[in-house]
Amino acid sequence: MIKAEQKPIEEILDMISPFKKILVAGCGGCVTVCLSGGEKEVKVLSDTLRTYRERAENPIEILEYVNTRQCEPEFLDPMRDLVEGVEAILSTACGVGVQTLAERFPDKIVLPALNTKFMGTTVEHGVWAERCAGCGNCILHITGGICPIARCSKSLMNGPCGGSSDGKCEVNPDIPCAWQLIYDRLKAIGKLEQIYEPLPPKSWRTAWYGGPRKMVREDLKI
Amino acid sequence: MASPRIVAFLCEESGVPALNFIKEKGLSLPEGIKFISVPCGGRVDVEFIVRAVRNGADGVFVFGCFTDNCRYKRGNERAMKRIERVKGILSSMGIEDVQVDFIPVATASYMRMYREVWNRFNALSKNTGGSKK
Repeated sequence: MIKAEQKPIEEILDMISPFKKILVAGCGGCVTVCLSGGEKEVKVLSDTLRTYRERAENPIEILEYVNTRQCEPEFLDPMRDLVEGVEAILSTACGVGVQTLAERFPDKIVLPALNTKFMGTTVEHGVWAERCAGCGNCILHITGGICPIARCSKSLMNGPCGGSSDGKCEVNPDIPCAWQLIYDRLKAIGKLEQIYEPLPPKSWRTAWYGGPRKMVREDLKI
Repeated sequence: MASPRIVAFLCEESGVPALNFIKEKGLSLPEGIKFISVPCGGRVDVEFIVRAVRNGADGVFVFGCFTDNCRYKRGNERAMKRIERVKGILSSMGIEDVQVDFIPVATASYMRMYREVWNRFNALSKNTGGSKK
């Protein structure tokens, strides 16, 4: 899922400084799971902002609303009445949610309360790590379920670089060498021979390097 | 001068029995402290503390168990980390006159709780010149 974290409170305060009435819009999807933009976080952020502005003798009225998913345009319609009554929307969704809001409410100022980080998994409570780079051409079946694009600092396709030492990446000893992980995993599942099959040069046209991507399913269109 | 407004969350395993002891011993505590019983210090969420500050609390304290003494293993550690997060939030907003802390206690150390409540109350009375509202 998408992982995001709240921007520094100073930055958010600065963004909302011109406004007297805003809507803090949370999302019940990914950012609820990574505890950065769901119902609870919306309450905490709203109360924090109210407290600051009251103490600064510049009170602000803050409405709160949490969508099931902010990245689905039709889910945004129930909040239309609330949106109409505010000067700006402060979204605690990922960048996709913020932009979906901006598209659905084109006359409204939409502000991001989070920094969207990556697509990743939960390693342990409170720890998330990147797992997918969304390159558009998955090779996980060859690499034992470990992605060299997302998890190798150099996105190498055919084995580790000279910077791999004791299973760690030269970029940061906290980063495991993806190719060490791939080797260990293929060995564990009895598929080590796969590592000797060279992977062809990767086409990055399916990744972001081909420009903003779009997906169309004619069978689903109405 | 009005008294400072204090919200004290009490763990049912340590803070609550310590408070009961204080009462049984006939010791008096400052007026106006809002005591809230919770099953464990770890139940106290950032949301509760921020809400208390928002509603005008000058001090928010969690009276929970000592390290390695939590019935739920790590609830006290979680409470301490949440307190640190709230301190970070308050600090980033330039709010320095609100005290937020985790205070470890046990049933047997009720006198520690008694002293801490009075010390915090007196410190807040001095710092804030009484309640803001």
